[in-house]
Amino acid sequence: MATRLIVNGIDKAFDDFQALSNVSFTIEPGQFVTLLGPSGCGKTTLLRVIAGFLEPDQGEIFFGDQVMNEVPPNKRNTAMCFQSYALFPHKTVYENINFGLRMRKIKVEEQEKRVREVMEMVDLVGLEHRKPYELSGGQQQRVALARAIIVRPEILLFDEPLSNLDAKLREKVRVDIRNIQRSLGITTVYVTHDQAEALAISDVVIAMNKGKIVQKSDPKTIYNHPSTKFVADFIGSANIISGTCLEAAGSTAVVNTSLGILQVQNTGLIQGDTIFLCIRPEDIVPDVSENVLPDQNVLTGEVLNAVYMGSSLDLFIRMDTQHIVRASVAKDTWVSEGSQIRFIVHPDKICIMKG
Amino acid sequence: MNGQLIKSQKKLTRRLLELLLPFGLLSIIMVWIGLPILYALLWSLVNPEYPWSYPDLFPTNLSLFQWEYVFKYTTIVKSIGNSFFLAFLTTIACFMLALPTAYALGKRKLKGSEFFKIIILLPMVFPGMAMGLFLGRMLHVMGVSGTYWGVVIVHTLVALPYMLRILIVNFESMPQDLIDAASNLGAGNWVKFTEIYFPMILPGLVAGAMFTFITSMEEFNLTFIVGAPDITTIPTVLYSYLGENFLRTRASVVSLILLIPNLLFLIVAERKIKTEYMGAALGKM
Amino acid sequence: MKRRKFEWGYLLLIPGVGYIMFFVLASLYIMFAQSFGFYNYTGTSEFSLQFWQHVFSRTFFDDLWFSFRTALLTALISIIICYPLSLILQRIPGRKTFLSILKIPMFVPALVASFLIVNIIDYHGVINMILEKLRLIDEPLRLRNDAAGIGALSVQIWKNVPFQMIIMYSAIEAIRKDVRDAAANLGANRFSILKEIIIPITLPSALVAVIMVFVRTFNDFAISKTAGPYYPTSISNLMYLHAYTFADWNTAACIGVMMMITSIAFVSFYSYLSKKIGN
Repeated sequence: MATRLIVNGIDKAFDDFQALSNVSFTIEPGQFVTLLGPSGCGKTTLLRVIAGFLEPDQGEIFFGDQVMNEVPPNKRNTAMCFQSYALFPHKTVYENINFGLRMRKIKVEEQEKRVREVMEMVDLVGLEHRKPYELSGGQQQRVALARAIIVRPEILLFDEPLSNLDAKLREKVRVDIRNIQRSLGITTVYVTHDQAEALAISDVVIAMNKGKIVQKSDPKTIYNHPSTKFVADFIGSANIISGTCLEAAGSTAVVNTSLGILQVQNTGLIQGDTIFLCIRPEDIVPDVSENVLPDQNVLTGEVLNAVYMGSSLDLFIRMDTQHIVRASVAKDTWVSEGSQIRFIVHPDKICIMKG
Repeated sequence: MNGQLIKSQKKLTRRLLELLLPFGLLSIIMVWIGLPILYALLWSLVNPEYPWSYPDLFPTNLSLFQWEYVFKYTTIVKSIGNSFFLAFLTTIACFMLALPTAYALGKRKLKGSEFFKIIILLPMVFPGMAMGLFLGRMLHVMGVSGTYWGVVIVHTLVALPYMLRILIVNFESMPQDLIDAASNLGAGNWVKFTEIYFPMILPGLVAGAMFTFITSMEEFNLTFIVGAPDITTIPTVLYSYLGENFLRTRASVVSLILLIPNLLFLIVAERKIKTEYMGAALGKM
Repeated sequence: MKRRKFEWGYLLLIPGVGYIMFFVLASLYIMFAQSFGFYNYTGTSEFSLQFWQHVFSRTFFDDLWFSFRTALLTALISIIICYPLSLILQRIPGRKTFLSILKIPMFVPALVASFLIVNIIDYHGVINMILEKLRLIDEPLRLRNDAAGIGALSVQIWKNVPFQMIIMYSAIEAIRKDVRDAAANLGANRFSILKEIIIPITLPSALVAVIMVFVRTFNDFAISKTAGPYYPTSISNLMYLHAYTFADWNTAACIGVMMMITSIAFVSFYSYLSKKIGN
């Protein structure tokens, strides 16, 4: 019985600063959606509008088919995990988790049963009587999660919940969050500026910039087919090159770029179009075979730096045009700095974006 | 739409409340704080030839007669001089005594420093009159009762905790990195003191000096016991005009004289002094 | 054998801590000694409990009750004013200015505060005049040096509200907005947020504010001497009278010892409670 969340034409300004302009999207029941963007892009503002802490200047929020605009935060059936966790410092773990149930005037026996269930779910059994300051960061985070899910909210909201944990723990907890959300089937909105986290955890990623939605897609699409330069640059690392279309016929097009002449997929280009190309570093393959297929792009350049990253080897390659390209190749590739390298970029792997 | 109308009406009421509430509160606070000060000012300006009494809410005629009288025919000028002189000496004494101790407690990690920090609070906890009486007796035996020395000793005792606490907070918040960087770049002890420590404790020093000065200016209990009758300060003069022989007009003049440095201090403190020094001085135990 | 290095830092404590310890401990010593009949200025000095037997007179209890009552009422009435005021101030534009103005009485010396308030509540003060004009009273109320001690109480409240205000305001301000939002998000209305979050979190600070004001007011001399009743007076004044008017320093010392013990008891009670309530 999950709820559909509809955000319709939301505007929100703080004095002169337009935090959100005309933001609209729909989240299907049970979906896990991430709002992704740099700080100041309006993602947290949007989350606070959904929770009811901020009133939008324009537009409506629907939970299912109900308009929520006039409903105060305490009457909205949402539950939020805060970046700071916002645990009640004077209450024990048990009292923290139980708070939402008490506010909802649930029977005491029922409260005890549900707290026990949730504490088992998030693995906090035995810590009932601790105060928040006696817990580790990871435990505090789990109390915040337990406190939110116990009220069985229609919409579960996360505001960068993992940013205060160390990198190792973060990866583990995001899997836990995903599993719990899936088993409860709650519609979830998750705010983060960490693109890897967004890709790993979501059904749908909504990329935001300067108060606007830039792209809304599943993680695969948003990574492989970013619709704008901003998305390509923000998610993962990318070589972004400008170019002009020389020829477009059939399924391929020929583009003149700062790397040289490249063959790309024809996505309805017209001769003379100015476009941007995105090439992911891992799609650049060193060519050692010497036998070149006719439909491949073969390029050469000088290796400026070879940086060993552990799981891969990152090359910074200077083309004849002085343009520097980043390539991520297999970790055991043998390349020496200063040497010439020949590499292949498959036309399918080049993503075309409009300015 | 109807809903829109209700919404805009609601917004309007909220706006109105947001405007009225601060205004109402401001007027209450103004009366609460301003009325006593205003009436002290009015009473200090009463012209004795046009007495002010019921049912007039305001005096009918104002003059500077009371101010002239107090300055001409009472010992107030000497007391004002005493007050400032004592406050000045106390501030210097407090600084000299507090500097080494604050350094030791704030910067050196001494064993038992928590205990010594509690000792510092003693003069703030000791009932004022009890300390006045028995310390006064001791100073009497020492032969400094009724002298400037005696009063400076007791004022220093009362004000020293403020100076110490502010300077300790100051020393504690001084980043060790900076001092290490100076040593690393070849600074000797003298250079470290003049170019690192001193500029960095200056704000705390100014704050501490102001607190000490004001504490000394308004100190009454101990001055009254140790100084009287030879050393009079503004508060002891004011005391003589209050109580059973209530001299309203003169008391208002002296009150205002004593109020001026404190209000100036408040204005400067609000703008310049860091909140952590204020916290330290107000004695969060 | 490694020789333990002498810590020169302790020598630096002498000017600051040493100065305070010397004078405070010396006065304490004189006070305790005199309360048991030692260290007399005139006559014989010998151990005696007679001063402790005679200190508990009718006057003593009246004055003790006066000081205690004034201190308790001041601390409680001030906190009752402060709590809602701090809550309202949090939500008002220009709160910084309000706070600065509110701080003024804190920087007004006790005697000046006493005069300022006495001046307006006096027999011919503006308060009486206004009340008369409004026909609320037929003849002026006696509020200065009144037997009930309303004069002294008014001065104390006027002077101590800002002090508590600053403690309470920063305590409430220190509650993270997130924590309040979290409570609202979990279904708490304004009243529940106040009852469940704000009051429990700020309770230790309120206790600090109450106890500090209580101790200060209990030990007061100047305000109750100038604005309070002629009888009973404050316990500080009783001690002063014994010492200077009756030249009975031993009894004064007994009273001083008791005041000191009361102060210490309250301060340790506070630190005990704050350890229990707070983290």
